[in-house]
Amino acid sequence: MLVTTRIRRWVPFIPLAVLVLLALIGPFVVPFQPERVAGAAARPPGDGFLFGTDSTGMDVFSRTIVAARINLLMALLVTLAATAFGVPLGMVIGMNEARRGPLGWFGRAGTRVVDLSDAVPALIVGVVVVGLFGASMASLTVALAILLMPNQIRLTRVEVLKVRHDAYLDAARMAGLSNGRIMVRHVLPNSVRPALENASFVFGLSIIVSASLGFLGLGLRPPTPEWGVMIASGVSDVMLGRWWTALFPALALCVAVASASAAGAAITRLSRSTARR
Amino acid sequence: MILDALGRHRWWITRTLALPVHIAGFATVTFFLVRLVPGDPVLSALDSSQGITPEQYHRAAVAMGLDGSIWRQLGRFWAGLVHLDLGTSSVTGRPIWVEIWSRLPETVELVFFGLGGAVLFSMVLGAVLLQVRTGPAYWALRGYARMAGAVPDFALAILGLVLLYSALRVVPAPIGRVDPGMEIPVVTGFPILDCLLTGEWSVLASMVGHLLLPVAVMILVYTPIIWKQFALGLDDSVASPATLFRIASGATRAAIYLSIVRRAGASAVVMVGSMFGALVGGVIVLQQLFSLGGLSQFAIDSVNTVDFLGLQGFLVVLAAVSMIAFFAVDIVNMLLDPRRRPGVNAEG
Amino acid sequence: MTGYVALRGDRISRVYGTRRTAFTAVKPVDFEVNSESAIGIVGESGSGKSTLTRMLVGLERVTTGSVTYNAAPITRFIQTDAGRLDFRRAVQFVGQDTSSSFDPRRTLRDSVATPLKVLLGSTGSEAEDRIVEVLRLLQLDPAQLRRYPGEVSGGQRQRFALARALVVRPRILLCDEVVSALDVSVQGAVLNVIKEYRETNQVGLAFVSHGLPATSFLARELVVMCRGEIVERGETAQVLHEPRHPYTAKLLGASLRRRRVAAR
Repeated sequence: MLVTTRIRRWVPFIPLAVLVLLALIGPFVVPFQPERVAGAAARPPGDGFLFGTDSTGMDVFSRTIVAARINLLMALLVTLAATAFGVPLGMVIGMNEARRGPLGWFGRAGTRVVDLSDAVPALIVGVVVVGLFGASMASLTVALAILLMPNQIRLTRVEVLKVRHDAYLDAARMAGLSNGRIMVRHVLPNSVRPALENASFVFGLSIIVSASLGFLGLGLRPPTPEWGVMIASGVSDVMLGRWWTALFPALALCVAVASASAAGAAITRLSRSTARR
Repeated sequence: MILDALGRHRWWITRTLALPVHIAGFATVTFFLVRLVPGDPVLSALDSSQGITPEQYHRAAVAMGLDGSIWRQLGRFWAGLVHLDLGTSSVTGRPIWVEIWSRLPETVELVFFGLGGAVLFSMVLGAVLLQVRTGPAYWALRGYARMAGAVPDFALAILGLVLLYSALRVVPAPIGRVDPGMEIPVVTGFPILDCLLTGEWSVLASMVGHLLLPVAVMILVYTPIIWKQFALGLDDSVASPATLFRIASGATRAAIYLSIVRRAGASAVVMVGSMFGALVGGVIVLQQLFSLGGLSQFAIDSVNTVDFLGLQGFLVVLAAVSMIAFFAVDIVNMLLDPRRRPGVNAEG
Repeated sequence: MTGYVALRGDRISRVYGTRRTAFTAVKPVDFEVNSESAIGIVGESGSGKSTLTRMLVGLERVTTGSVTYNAAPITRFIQTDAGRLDFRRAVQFVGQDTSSSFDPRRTLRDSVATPLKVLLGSTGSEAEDRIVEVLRLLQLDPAQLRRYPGEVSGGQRQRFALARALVVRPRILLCDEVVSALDVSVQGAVLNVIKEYRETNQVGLAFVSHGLPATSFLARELVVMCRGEIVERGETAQVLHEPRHPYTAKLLGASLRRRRVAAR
């Protein structure tokens, strides 16, 4: 295969990789301390402040970069939790669905629960959780993971139902592999694709929900830099003609979500080309 | 004779009778959900820095409706539902139902315009795409469709605001539904409808101006989702035998397109229905951004004051709105496609 | 592996569904295949022949009766790691599905080498030699090993499936319609290979087919199934020339007619 085609495969992941990198090293490389006054208040971009300063004099650029951490971290945790639990559950439900006995019943009941969870909007769940438990990263992560897990379960289950009757599973039994090993070695790789594609959606959605909660004032308190919070205080600035305090966090948010979508689309394309059915 | 008529209309009668059952069912699910989540909302609401006496706890529990066993609470909840009594808000002291009901219509109206616009836009895009099969326009449209996923609506709104307000001064400032000083007439509770009914044209114009950007953002964000469903349905519908039959029997282009759309519409209609309920909740961010009032402020206040009953009421009403939306969608679907009516045996 | 081994089904049956919607695929039958057998199982589609063989190798649960390997129930073998390996080393099965017989994500080499690695612990050049040896027997090009299942034809896949079963030198081989998907020209070659392999390596064979000529070529003993029951069994020559059951006669007649048509 041409080298250029090989490289081109990975290009869509670059934005997300850069974002993750920034989230990791951001706090160490930004020009100014994100929670300290850096200069005169409300200066437009220029003069050493790439994105200008906000109404308290903090550097918008540094804050925008550092804020990536919080949103991306939560998105990562939620995505990992939803997928790491959802995929195995989907496999178990899918493999045991038609069987008689308790496992089969569990499988069918599980599907009903998954269908119900579709109608619930993620943001409202976030609002209610914050309302009942306060704005802690832990409770929000758990709540979002629980809300978004059913989709991963359902997507995996559908694939497993297709794969369940494939003859290579019989051949694997003939080769002496135990049921557990067969699940991991054969069922999992052949049924995980839709869940992986959906993972990028879960990632993007988590970013949006955490930023929305921040925007609504239900998330972390200022001066902790968080995109939603920055946008919220930026709205009043916009009306005073100071557009930069809201614009850059909003742009960053859009870029972050778009990167996740691009990565997701790339995963779809990649796995389609390597599926040899 | 009457029984005959009843039998023919069985499909919508049954579905209508099922609606209150669904609402009650989901309200009950909500009841359990907010209670079975781990943690104690009463404790969260109290300031525990100096210790809590049992009396304080009990008083707070009663105020939140959380005293007594869970079955007692459920009984009170159901009794309340029948009378539309969702408890009293700890913020304003007024009944929660009144608080929500007074804000619901403007929220519903906003979602209506946003979703309705998105549906229309999807149909336009669908028509365009049927004509344009190649070229840069095609790829741009397809790229847009792929965005049917997570899009941050309020971030887009900010971008739009900076561009159209700060830079171009095309839209008004995001400070409310109408220009300051104007009063919105109240007849039905739906602001735009009320303006039309009372002939307050200047208020109407101001309102349209203020709603332009938020509704545009909603259309931009929701169209890909609806369109994706619509496109999937279109693919099926275009290739179906019914379409081929129409073409073969010499129907006009418009008639063919209409019949395709009618059959493809089903899955899109279902999507719109499920989105409606979710959006009545999800639009609170845009409402805050543009100071449009509605349910957003109520929800936020309930969270900030840990008004448990307020939050519960909010969820219950959301669930009810969703059920009603599903109901409307079902009826529309059954009208569009007789095969979907219960009790009909047909090749589907 | 050497030595005599026997796989028996005692009054085994398979019923699907619940009481109201029960479907009996196989009515209670006794069946044995051992390392000296050469049994052919014939019957039309739906007669239960596939289900019977799948029950014998543990791919299908028995509703009544039990399957034993050397007089011990196979359920006990399959439950333990060591027992499972013992059992699978001795008894191999090749099914009729050509489209999904291999994991599409793994190369053919990977799939064929897996039983060698798991059951015999054989890897590296030792395994490679054995694989090439079996492939040559089946007239397959070892260069194909690096391909993915989707890149070879159905007939080739079927032969690779046979290779996968034979690399571990089983004592008993059960084949379910393994030549039915092959070109007529290749069928003969593969049947010859199977027959020769059985005779050289002293492997017991149970061969399921709906084609009488292929089965009678390989089998010393014929078993005729119809609607889940064994309606006739005996020496091949006897069953072919002196069928006792009307269904067998019908089957033979159909086959003869087909031969006459082909001969024209």
